[in-house]
Amino acid sequence: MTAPPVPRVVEAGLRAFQCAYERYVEEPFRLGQFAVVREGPCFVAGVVTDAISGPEDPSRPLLPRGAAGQTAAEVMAGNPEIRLLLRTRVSVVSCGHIEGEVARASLPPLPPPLLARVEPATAAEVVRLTGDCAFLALLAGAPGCDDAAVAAAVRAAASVFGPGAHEFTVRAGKELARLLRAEPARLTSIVRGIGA
Amino acid sequence: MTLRMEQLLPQLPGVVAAYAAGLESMKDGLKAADSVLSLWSADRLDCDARIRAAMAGSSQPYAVSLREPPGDVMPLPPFAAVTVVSSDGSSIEPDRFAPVQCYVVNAGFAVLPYGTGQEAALGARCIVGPPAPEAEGEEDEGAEDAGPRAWGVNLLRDVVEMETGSGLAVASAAASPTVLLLDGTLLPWDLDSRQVAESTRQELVGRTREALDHLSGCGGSLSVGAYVSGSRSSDVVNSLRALAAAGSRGWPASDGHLFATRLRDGERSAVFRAASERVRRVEEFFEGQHEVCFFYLRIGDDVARVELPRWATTPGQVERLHTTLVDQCRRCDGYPRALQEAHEQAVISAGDRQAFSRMLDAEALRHGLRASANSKQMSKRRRGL
Repeated sequence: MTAPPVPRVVEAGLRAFQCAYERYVEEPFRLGQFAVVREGPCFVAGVVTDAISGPEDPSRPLLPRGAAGQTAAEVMAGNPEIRLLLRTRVSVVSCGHIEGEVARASLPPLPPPLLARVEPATAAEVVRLTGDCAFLALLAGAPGCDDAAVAAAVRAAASVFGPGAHEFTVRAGKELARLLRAEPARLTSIVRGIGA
Repeated sequence: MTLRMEQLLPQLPGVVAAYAAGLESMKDGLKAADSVLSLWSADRLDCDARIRAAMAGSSQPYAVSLREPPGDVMPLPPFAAVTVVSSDGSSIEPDRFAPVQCYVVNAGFAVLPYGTGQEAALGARCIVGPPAPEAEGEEDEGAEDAGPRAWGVNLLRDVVEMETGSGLAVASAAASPTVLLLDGTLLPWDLDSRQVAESTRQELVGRTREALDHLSGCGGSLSVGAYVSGSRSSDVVNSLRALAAAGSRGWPASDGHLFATRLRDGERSAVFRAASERVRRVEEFFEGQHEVCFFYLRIGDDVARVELPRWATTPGQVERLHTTLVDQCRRCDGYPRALQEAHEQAVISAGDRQAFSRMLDAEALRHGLRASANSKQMSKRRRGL
């Protein structure tokens, strides 16, 4: 088997972008994962807020194939064309950008280039982008980023801090409390998601 | 509404009734043909000789036996791991009103592995070029807006389909058992069209032969089948009529009618050799190992004709082709999945055609070339009252 395809930017904006794999993949970027586009004048970083898979051609809907008892993998193996006719798209909300040695938790000056590769952020990049928790302001204010995505992003960021994960999570909680003091229900929802 | 339904509808029942009556009148002919088929099986060589004698002076297509008794019915062999390769084509004919005469041929392909471990692939190969030269002194008998140049493009499309499928199948057959499926007849029938310039014909005959030569070099690991769904060919019934010395009245109109009564779902007929004494026929270019053979295959209610070159008629190659075709059809509502996917890759949408036309116009304009105003074309575009 060849290596899994690399997703590429197919819709680009300053606040959000979408990337797509060239075929269906069962395990795309995960909810809350940090992704980076390392092409263009600066690296654009974002958090995965949604992933959706389905037919590329809307006139050819996916039919429920497969015999009783067959797993999805078995049905895929028996219909090798299907994976190529499906696409997995991932939505990413911008949470910062990196220019040289400077990481900023603010909108990038330019959208990421269309068709640029989208890659997982390294642990070092995540630490630089999230250490001061300023990225949460962008996420909490982004229309495409719901409570579950914010909570997943905090969990994903905490996981790279190693022994400092708890300290980071507390810091993130305080920042969220400050940002969402007028929205207690939302704050509760996110905090519960972080603890999940 | 320009089609006058009130005029059309009263005529329709008569057409359908006449067809139904024709089918009814064929019943005795089908029984007779069935009996003759048994005789042919009992004495292949003598019957083949009588068929060849009847062919003299006839332009009709006939069939003679190959190895299997002509009346035999072959059950479905067990399925085995295989990679199915297919190709299909679409084209944009040169527009004689365009500033530059230019065609597009888009050959779609599918490589679908079933248990062989190969990588699946879907894609298309696109070529653009100037039209083939017109045959000298010929009249404009092509499509209304394309002229005879379209014939050359259709033929080129068929050949590019064959080349595309051949290249992929040869690569696949080196790694695992492979079946190459082509859409339509095995050989490009426009090769014998008088509307194709001789130089074009010679070039494309050479390219077709080269593709077939490459395929034949794969030996037993490759099966080849050109699939004609709902075939209306009549080679076998013509041969049976010659053996029965019967007239055409009440005789089965096509091989499909005959084999629909003999084959059950998934079964195939014996393999036959196509034979004809028609002059200037395509087969003349490919006699020998690439001679066209065929069998009929029952898929649901459809009786498909499957053409294959003679070198691909060994029992192992035919068994693999037979079982793979049935498997492919069962995956895709009665039509081979790989052919459907190759077709999907080949299709040039109306939007793509318009985009190509605009790009051609823009490129021509960069060289100071403009489409000449043509009153017929203009009148078609200007449809206001």
